Amino acid sequence: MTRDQADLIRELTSREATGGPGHTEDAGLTAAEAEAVLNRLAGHLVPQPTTAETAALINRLRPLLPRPAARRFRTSGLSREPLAHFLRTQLHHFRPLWWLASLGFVLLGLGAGSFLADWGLSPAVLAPPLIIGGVLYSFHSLRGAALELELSCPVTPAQVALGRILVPLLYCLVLGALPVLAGTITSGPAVLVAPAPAFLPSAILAVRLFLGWAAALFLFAGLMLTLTLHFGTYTAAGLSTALWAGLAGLHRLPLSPFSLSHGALWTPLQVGGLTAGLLLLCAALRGDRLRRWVERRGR
Amino acid sequence: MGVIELLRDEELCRQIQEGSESALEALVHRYHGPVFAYLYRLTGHRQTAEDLTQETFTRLMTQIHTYHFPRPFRPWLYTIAHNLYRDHVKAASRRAYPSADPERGQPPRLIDLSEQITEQAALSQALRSLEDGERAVLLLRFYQGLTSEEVGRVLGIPAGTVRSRLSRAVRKLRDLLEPASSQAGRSEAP
Repeated sequence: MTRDQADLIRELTSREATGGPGHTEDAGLTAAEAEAVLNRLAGHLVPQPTTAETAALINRLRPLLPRPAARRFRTSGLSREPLAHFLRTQLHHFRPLWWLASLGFVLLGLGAGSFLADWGLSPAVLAPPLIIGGVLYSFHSLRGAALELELSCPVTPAQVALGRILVPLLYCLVLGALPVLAGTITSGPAVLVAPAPAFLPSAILAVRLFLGWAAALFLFAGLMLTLTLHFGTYTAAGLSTALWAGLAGLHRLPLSPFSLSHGALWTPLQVGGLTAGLLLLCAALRGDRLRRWVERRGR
Repeated sequence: MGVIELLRDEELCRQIQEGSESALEALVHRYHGPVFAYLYRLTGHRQTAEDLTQETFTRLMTQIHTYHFPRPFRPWLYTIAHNLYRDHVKAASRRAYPSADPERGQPPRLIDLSEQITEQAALSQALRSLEDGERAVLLLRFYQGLTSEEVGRVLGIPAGTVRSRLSRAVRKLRDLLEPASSQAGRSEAP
């Protein structure tokens, strides 16, 4: 007796099947009787379709096979979908925990502001870990199902990636205003930009400080996206963090992006860093690697 | 055996949705016989069963886009087959044509056949003597190996009803096929 048959006999002789406790005895079914009936039924033969009949059926069905749908939407570049639309869609992927954690990190940095200043570090030193965390979160959480849904909409992979990178980037830019403002207000321009010409008003100094923050942010965002597409999120985060630690360690050099002392070449270097970050972002968003990466994640 | 034949029914279905011919072949090879056997036992008529089997697979292909992975495939397939059988019975009765099985509804009678096929005839007659609902439950549960829950989904009835119908069907078959043991069992009962 097979296991299936044993299960069936158990089911047949169960109280529920036989009609419950009030059921009449003569209508009941014993396990032996059920087994005997099933054994006889197992001997019932039916004609089987021949191989030729099966082949003929397959031939009849073949024209009904669905044709793989041609892609209806662009696969590269940017479609005409307004930026605000897919940015709003991307917001759903970022849980409240991430928003709060990023804010908490900046506030923590603010709390440690005086220590940073003592070590000669600019508040911009907080920007890279913030954006590394943001990109890691947004791209690592790009699950297959969500991506499949996104790609079924009229947006290109580049737009999906752009949306994913823009949310943390914009949020970090806004957060950057906090330490800059706080630094300007609490420490004063003399502390923040020690070698700066004394005649520069504090507003301009704040702009310079914000430029440092933005440059670090864009540079590391571009770096993270490029490295993510090549090596994956974790490796990208590891390499970027190592670079950040290295640059922070070299902050005593006047040209370091995290240095408080602003030499003559400081501003052009910040603009250069910002431009390099933008170029890295554009290159990553236009490349074939992005499409391959999206397809790999979508599987 | 190709790799495709190792795939589960549901995975084959998904491949078919993407236009895979080999998945179609594997699925038809897997289910042509069982579906035909189910419909043959339901109708008791070879030509009708062949037509309904073809129609079942055609319907499957035209509705394949409605399949959602990982919905269990077998209940879906047998639902299509059973609905086609029901439509066939309705259409046959509307046209006032004799049903595919002219002996349905009549009490089983013994046929004077050779020794070798007497047993098959007795089994066929016993199956035909069951009510439609009882026969469908027995075929799906016993011959096609569906669970009671799956049978319930195919026929649109609760699993409890499936079990009670199945028990009733087997009791009827016992009385028809094993009258001696049935009588003995009853007389031995206290």
